[in-house]
Amino acid sequence: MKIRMKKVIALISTMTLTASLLLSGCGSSGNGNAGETGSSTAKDNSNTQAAESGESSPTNIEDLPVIKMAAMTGANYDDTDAVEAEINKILAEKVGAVLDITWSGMGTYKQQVNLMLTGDGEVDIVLLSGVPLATYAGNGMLLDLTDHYEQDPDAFLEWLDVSYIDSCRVNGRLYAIPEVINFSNEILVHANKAMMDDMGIEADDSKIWTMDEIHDLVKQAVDTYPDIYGIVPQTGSQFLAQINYDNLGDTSFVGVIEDHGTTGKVISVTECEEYIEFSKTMREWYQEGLIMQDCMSNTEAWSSMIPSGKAFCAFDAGAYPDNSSTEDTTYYNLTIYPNWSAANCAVRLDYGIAANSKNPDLAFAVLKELYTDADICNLLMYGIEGTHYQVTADGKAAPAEGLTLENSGYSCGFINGWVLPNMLNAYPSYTSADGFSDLLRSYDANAIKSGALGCVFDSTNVTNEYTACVNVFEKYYFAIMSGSMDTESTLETFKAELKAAGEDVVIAEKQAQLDAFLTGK
Amino acid sequence: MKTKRSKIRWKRYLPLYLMMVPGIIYLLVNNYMPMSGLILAFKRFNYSLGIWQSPWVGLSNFTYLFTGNEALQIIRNTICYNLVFIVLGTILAITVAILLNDVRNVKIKKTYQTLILIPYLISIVIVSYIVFAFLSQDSGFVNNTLLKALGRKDSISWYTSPKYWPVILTFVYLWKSFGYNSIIYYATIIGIDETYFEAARIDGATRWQQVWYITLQCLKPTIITLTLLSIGRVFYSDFGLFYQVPMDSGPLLNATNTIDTYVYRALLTLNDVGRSSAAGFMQSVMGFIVVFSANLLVNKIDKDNALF
Amino acid sequence: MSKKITPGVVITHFILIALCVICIIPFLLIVISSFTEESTLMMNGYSFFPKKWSTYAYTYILGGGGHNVIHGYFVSIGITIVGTTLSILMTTLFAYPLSRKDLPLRNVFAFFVFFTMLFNGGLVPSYMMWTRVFHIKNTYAALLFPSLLMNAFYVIMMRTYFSTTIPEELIEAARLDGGSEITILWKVIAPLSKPMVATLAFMIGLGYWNDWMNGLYYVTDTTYFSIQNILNRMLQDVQFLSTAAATQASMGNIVSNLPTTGIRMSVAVVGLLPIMIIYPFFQKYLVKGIMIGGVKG
Repeated sequence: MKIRMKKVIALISTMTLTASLLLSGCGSSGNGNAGETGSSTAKDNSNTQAAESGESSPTNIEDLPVIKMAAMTGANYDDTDAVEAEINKILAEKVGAVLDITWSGMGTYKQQVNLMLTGDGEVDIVLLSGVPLATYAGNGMLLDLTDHYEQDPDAFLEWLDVSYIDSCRVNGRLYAIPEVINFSNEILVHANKAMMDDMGIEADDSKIWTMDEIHDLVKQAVDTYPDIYGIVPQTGSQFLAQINYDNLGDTSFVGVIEDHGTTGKVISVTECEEYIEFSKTMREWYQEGLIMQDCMSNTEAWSSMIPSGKAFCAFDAGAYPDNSSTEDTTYYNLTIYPNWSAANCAVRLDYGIAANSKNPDLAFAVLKELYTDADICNLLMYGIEGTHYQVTADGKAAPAEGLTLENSGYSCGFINGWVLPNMLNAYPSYTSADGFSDLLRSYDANAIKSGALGCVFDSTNVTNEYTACVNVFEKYYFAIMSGSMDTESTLETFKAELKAAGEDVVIAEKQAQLDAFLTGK
Repeated sequence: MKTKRSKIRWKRYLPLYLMMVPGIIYLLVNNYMPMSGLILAFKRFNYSLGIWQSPWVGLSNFTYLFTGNEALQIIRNTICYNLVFIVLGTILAITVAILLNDVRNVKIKKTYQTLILIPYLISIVIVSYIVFAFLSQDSGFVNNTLLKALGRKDSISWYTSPKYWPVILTFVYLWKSFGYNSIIYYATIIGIDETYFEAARIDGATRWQQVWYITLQCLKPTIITLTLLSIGRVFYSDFGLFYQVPMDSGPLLNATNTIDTYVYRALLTLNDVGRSSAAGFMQSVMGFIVVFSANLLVNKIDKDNALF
Repeated sequence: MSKKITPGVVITHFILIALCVICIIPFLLIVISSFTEESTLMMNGYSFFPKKWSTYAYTYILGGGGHNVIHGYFVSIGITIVGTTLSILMTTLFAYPLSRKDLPLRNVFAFFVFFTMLFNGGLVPSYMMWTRVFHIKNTYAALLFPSLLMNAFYVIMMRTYFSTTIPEELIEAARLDGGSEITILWKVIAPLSKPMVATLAFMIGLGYWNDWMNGLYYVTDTTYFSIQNILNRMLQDVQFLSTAAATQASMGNIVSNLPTTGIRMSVAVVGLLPIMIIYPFFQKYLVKGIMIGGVKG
């Protein structure tokens, strides 16, 4: 036995030794260079490129350095290569580089990009969707863009308010550029249009509904249509993410700030009045049968249940600067809380550059064009004019003659333009209201601003307590909010388990970060 | 003298060693080389520095696994479920394999084999929808049809009542895996020399005696191997079974949270390579200790059947 | 051969039929829901007797959302055949020496195999190695090599099978006849091991057929998508669209038209069907294996 153990140990250690030698070989050759040579080659490249495009003909696009970009898509388009080629004609001229976009499915995007970022120059420009920016920056995944940005901030400030751009700073350094998109959401109820019309209820656009009014409305609907669900969850089993308390952008509401984040004091969500009140109301509604009884195990989206007439309404947060435009939708939007910008509103969707990028300078130059060049933005949104889209008389983009969204070779902007850097620097979609761009901007400008706008929580220092709290949070937060469990007693358990998991430590850290942010401001 | 003997031995076994070369190379490349990444469990992984240059952080990646009250619960859940799965799974699979072997009609036997394998082929996400179709509070088959037939008026809220879930999860696990396992056992049973049974029959052995003294004895090595293998994974849990099937329902967590789902929830947004490596490392080491002890025991009792 | 219907036979069949029913009912439910009209599915829930039938989910899938489903099938079939063949060869070659009780260092090698079942380096190191050292990203090799080619579990199963069912005297006799090890394995052992080889081939093939992880990690170019990658991506996208991102402005109205539940079910059927067709053929070998094992052994 002894001898065998020795042999085994000897074997294993030889294996691991060889393995580590092999890996370290490839690791160092890959990584060591990335930092230094990466940027120097980039400079070389951009120099040669500038020289080339200056002197010789700019047509030899094949020789230009390739900037790789990762983006997500909801569909797989046949003509992405053709669209890319058009974009590259412009980029070759202006930047001296070409773009190669890797489209990943939305559901798989995050995982694939996280892997690509470990690679050695495998990707340059990345779309970041709901990632904790501070953690990503701390992990060395993203390039520090501060210096690049400082060279010409106005290019971005034309489109983005400086407070939004500053939201993407970690310790004063900029790691991403926010997408040009809505920065405020209202809490509202999507109510089935057909049923509302049928019951003869007006959905006045400017009206703010009270919870009592919503209650009576849902009650009437459930009485009129006994076979439907009254209220269904916002997404899956998550009843409603948040109301008007700010959580500084972490996904699990461990420590919140009341009144749109204006109180300056971080408290436990179990003590947040807004949350408790809402939960108590929902508990009553749940017992009255107004809320889907299965909501803790729901997998359908309200967006399929309401149109199909299975449900009457759902709570949601969203930006609807103009309700009248959504004529072909199947629901009304009943506002219950006016729109407000949460602390993390600018870091939900943003674009960054990989730390391992081989051509950081060129990558940033390309990224800038993706925000500022209207032709590129239109190409990214709708494809090639004439082939994929046409411009209507009122200056909107519509699918080209004879094309539908399903059979078009490229229709990204019509389906999910929000994955692209700057959808406002393109024609508005034919489904949007007149003057959509201005509407959206004034909507954001008039929004209630969080007192902590731009302060995004970084859990790195308290990861142990934070991760423990997340598991407790998952257990109770939505269950209480949906009314499917007794409010009083479950809140007590929730509170006790959060305490045991170390909630106080997380709250203290959050408070410290908030204080530092507010004094720095 | 001695060298000469070992030379002959060497020559004799060389072809056998050569046969193993492709496999060894593959395991080295696919399994052992990335294993050096286990050191990430002790590092704070930095993407731009890579595996080797990332800074050491000692054991701090492990501490989150033991913070709060959840730790004991998730470890208990993981081990208990696995033990139940191993015991019941083995019994069920062997029973079915023996029954299958008794079926003489080839066509019928084929049909049975095909049908019992179906659950194994269905992906766990789909399984979770099937379970939901049965257990949904509003429209589920159980609440709507079964309980009504049994005369119960109030429906059960399955997805908020943790007490039912140990049974439900065990049932789903057995349902999904017994076909696969019984086919493995069955493949061994049909390899058993028919003459043993003939001799036994001539000696007047009953059906039970044949099963007990021949089939089970011949299955023993397979049973031991499979059990040892599953014991090594006693700290792991099937993520789909414990996350998808309960539909990630919060109120059920006391009964459904295991090490893997805990780690998943904890690190979902953080993308923390170091901490997830630490969890895997801990599961592996604990599994290694358990399986090593078990193997030691087998070695003492029945040397031939030990794994290594 | 005359058959007696004894109570034992009846009970055997009764139990097996009961088990089969338990296995088949949920599968039927899947098939039926995949042909159920989406709104019916949502209004009335899952049912064995839906009010309205529809093939929309299949039109949607075979339309593929721009993916070439037929190409995906070919990729899957090719990868499965090549992968399974290679894998069975390597597994057998590895397992046979391990099953020889006289082989020096046998247990060390067995441990070498078993160890890989306990420890793994995790996704990131594997990814870095496969993409940086072997450059398999976006090639067919990416679907073939990582993690699937040889599985310690199958090696150990095969070894156990060899050492329990193949008498040592048989090998000894063949060796005295002057057969080399490879001939012994090929001419003597392999024919006796058909049941296990067929079983493992089926399991391994299943592994290749059902795998979408390799595609997820190592393939972004849709040219190399296997059928499972296409299906998985659809499933994930539908899920993503119906849950996340609903808070964004100007979300297209296409989202609300996605037939979610029906698609999920038909995805399962489309992936499963080829296996259901192939499985009986493998069973033929299993049955043949019984004959050979039973009569000659």
